[in-house]
Amino acid sequence: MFTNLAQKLRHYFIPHESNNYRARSLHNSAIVFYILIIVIFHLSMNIMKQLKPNILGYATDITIEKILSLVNKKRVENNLQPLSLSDQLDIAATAKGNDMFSKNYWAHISPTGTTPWSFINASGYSYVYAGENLARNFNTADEVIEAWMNSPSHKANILKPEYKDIGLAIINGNLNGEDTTLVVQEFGTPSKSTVAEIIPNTPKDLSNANDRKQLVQVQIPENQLGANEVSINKSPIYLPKVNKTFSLIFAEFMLVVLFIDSLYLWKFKTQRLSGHSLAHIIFLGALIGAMGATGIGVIL
Amino acid sequence: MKKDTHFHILHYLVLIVILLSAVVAFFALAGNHRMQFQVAIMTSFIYFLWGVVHHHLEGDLHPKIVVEYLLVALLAVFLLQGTIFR
Repeated sequence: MFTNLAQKLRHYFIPHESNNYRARSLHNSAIVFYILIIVIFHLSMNIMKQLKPNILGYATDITIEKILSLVNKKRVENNLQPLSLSDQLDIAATAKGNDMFSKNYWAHISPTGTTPWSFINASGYSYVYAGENLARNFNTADEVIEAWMNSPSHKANILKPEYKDIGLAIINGNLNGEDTTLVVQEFGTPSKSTVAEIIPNTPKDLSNANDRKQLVQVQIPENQLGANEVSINKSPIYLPKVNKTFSLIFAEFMLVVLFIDSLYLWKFKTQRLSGHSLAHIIFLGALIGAMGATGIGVIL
Repeated sequence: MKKDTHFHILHYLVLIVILLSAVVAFFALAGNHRMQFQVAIMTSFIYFLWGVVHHHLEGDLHPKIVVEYLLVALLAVFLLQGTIFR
């Protein structure tokens, strides 16, 4: 039995007479088989995601509580007062996020010219200072905060002493044909007059480009979520991570088999008609390097 | 033999430069998933061409080898597609 197993392993992974001196797992038919497996895997994941969005979904670690906690931690570290979660700014952030998904844009100002301040005004929040920060496609709340803190303009918003309130929204949806976890953060300083009808159209502070880049996060109530919007906390498995892990394992498997093949060729100087395993190794090495640049979130 | 070695070193250097440029482009385009995917397709195609040209100049080009490079290039595209798009 063990002899049989050893023969099979040799046949599949080591160049030998039985496989025409090319590991069976590197034959063209085997590579076609791998491609089919990958295609079927991706299709299955996408179908699972549609059918069971609470099993395979979006980012699992980004919550309003975590973002708020991390923002206030940064403020306290810089001797600033923590921000209070404002229901009105939450509504403004939610409206902004929903507007981005419905009109399919990634910008502070919508294609129809709607500014962030319009959403804040519409929520009834009367302000003297306001700002907005946006983020998408991050895996964790820590990564979101780290990205903002590494950007001078976003950092300036988070650490602006004048701000008192914050609104947050974390929405899942499809933006530009891509499943996206969107984080919207709205900051505000309430005006002394709390009369909602008196709304400054152009607060003096808003002329500052940095302030316009502030990210506001708004919490979206469950009953306001659309069909393609899923609460992040409900997703125990994060699909992009599953896909990336699968691709990495596959590429590394290929690298190992190719490495064994190269070693064999180098040792026995075997002549055969095939592509160069060393070239494939370099190509797959670059592929793994490129994978490091995927799944990275962006801020605005 | 020496000429043969130089031939291989030159070709592999070209390949490494192409692939390194592609990886740098990938990082520069982080967040722009469509552009990343276009770079992935283009790089895979260039790798396929590199394989064909290399074996042609080496004098051992065979349809089986052409198919092998094509399949490896396709495999890379499908693997990257899964990590680029969510």
